[in-house]
Amino acid sequence: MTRNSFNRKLSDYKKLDKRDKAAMRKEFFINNSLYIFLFVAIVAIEIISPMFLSVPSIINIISLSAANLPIALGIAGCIILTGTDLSAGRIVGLVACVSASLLQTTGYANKMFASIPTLPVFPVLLIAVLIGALVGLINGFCTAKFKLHPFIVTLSTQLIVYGLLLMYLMSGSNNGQSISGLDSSYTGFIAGSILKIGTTPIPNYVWYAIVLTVIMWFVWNKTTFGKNMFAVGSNPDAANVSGVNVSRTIILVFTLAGVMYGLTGFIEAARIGSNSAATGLNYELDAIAACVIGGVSFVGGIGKIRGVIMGVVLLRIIFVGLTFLGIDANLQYVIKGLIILVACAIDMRKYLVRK
Amino acid sequence: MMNEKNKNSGGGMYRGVNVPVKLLDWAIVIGVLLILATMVFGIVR
Repeated sequence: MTRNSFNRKLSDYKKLDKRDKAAMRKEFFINNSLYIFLFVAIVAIEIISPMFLSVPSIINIISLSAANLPIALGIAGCIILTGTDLSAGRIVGLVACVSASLLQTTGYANKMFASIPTLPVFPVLLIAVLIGALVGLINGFCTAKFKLHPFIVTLSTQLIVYGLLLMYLMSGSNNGQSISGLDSSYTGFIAGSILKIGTTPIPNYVWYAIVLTVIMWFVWNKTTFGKNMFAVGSNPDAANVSGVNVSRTIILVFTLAGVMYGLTGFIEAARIGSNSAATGLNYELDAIAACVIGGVSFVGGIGKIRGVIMGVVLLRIIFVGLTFLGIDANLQYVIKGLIILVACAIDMRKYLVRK
Repeated sequence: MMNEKNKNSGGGMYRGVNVPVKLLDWAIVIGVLLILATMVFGIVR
């Protein structure tokens, strides 16, 4: 919000009578209750555990957020189309395992494909993107052409991809083990660092996440495809009448989301170092939660890149904060579920008030 | 109940939903309090 628009809103507020002022305050507190709560929680965590907002901790939060940002940006597009994508986490897992297997260091004792030398990083990056895009294309095609709900389409592809991942892990001499021993060119490219704050390095994948965010911002806000995406999400029939190719837009949104999952998988493989069938598990749930918290509405056609970033970072701050407070990991799931539920209730309330 | 006018308009997952806003207000307040209570429970446990 610019200073001018803020001043205008403030002067409008001052002109209101007492009852309208109270109603406006109530609207503000209800609509922003989650943000207010999260802000208070962050302050409370910092008071209880002063290391929470130290430089290493902040860089840790930024790094964890950066690792989850591309997948959230992908899913946000699907939510704007009033859909969702449940296959995201498994695509990340498959891509991570494929990337890791092709980039294991030569001479590693448990190398998955001993006869294949370590490939250069960029061809593998291309393979990762292609795998993600292919699954995204299938999701989009089935949703757009067969008029199936994305929930069920992506549930199916989730299972298919998971099956393929398990079969892939059994291939070569791997026998279902986790894939590690990654080449230093790969780990250096992703998890290496060119900048330090104090003694804490900022991993390279933070910069990649920033670049991807800028690209997605451009695609969403400055291209015809982005405008079409919002139009289809708001009202597909109206978009169709206006000359938007609805099917093409849906397919492209899901394919773009697939590309983002592919990139996430490629980054994730090097970030965690040891990849198994559990890699990427439930990542889509965190991403959907981040989108809803960030104001990407299930109503469709509503959402901003800055909202997605805010959702990812806020969710990550809360999880890191809960760990700082020593709250049981099992209880963290309960808190995560409640946060999503409240975010959805706020989203629905906004829709009903507008209607 | 969903009416014909609303059928093809926006609304996404909430299309045709008609919940009293007051009920949602309470749900949000109770939800936030529940999150707070769970966090406090986690800290004192």
